[in-house]
Amino acid sequence: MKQRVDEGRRRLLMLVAGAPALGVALAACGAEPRPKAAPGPRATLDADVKLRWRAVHGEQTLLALHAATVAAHPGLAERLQSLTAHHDEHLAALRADGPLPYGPGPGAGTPAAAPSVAADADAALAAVADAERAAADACVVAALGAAGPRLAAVLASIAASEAGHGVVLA
Amino acid sequence: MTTTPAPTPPPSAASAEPAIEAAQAALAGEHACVYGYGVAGAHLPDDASAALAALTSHRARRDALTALIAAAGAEPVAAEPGYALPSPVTDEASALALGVLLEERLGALYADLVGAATSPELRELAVRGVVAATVQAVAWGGAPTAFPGLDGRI
Repeated sequence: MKQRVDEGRRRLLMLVAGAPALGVALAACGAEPRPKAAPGPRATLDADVKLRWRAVHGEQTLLALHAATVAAHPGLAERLQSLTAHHDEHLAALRADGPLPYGPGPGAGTPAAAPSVAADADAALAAVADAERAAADACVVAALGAAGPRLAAVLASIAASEAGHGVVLA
Repeated sequence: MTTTPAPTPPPSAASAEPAIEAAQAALAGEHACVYGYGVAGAHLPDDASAALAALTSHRARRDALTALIAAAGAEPVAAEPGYALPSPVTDEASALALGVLLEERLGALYADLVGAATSPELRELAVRGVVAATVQAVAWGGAPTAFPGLDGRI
């Protein structure tokens, strides 16, 4: 399929175009300048970009669930509003740490369908709480794997924030 | 700070120092929490069983930090004989306020340690420490925030 090839090429171009700016972002985090050919730092940089990309996808998924839940149950808007704002802040911080390739993210598979929301408001709220806790667990794993100290701290803090959401929504 | 007698220090020795300092700060925070729950415990809700559970987890992390610091060749900081409380604990509300304050401050110390840790063991203890402290702060009635432990530093 020609369209698919073009899509793949576009992503590849985005990846290449993003590379020099990512080097700048890494230096801004306090890493020592290294020779361009050194494979180690380059490999960890790519791994951290993937972690950040996955985390961005996770935040987008949670935001979509929050939006769908409030659309189905306007009575829950007040309860969720401040927590939704936290996810906006998470997303902004993850994106501010450097450019990311376009696309749904590694391992995201097909674009996520609109989240389904339970007809019962209590059940819908419980589903959000479950999703927050699952997202927190994923961020813990990401924080353990991150090479960069700043990314690790940001991911740990996001994990803590979402675990706290799980508590207030329980 | 003790040094290893090895003739040539391991390559990570220079970069390990901030990690140990951050671990010592988190350990000092755990000591303060253990003391604080001793004071506040009787006034906390659920017949103090929730406070007891929190105290148990603080003791476990205190012991884990102590072991990791000692394994790195440093002398783990000891608990102070007593700590000045920010305000007297006389009832459930003041006990809850102290619990929130202790956990939020501890969360910031663990967030520092996440960035400074140079071993997977210390990183994991720190990451789980930020999450546990935040969950406990919210459980005591603290307001959820976007960046626990990093508030104002992001």
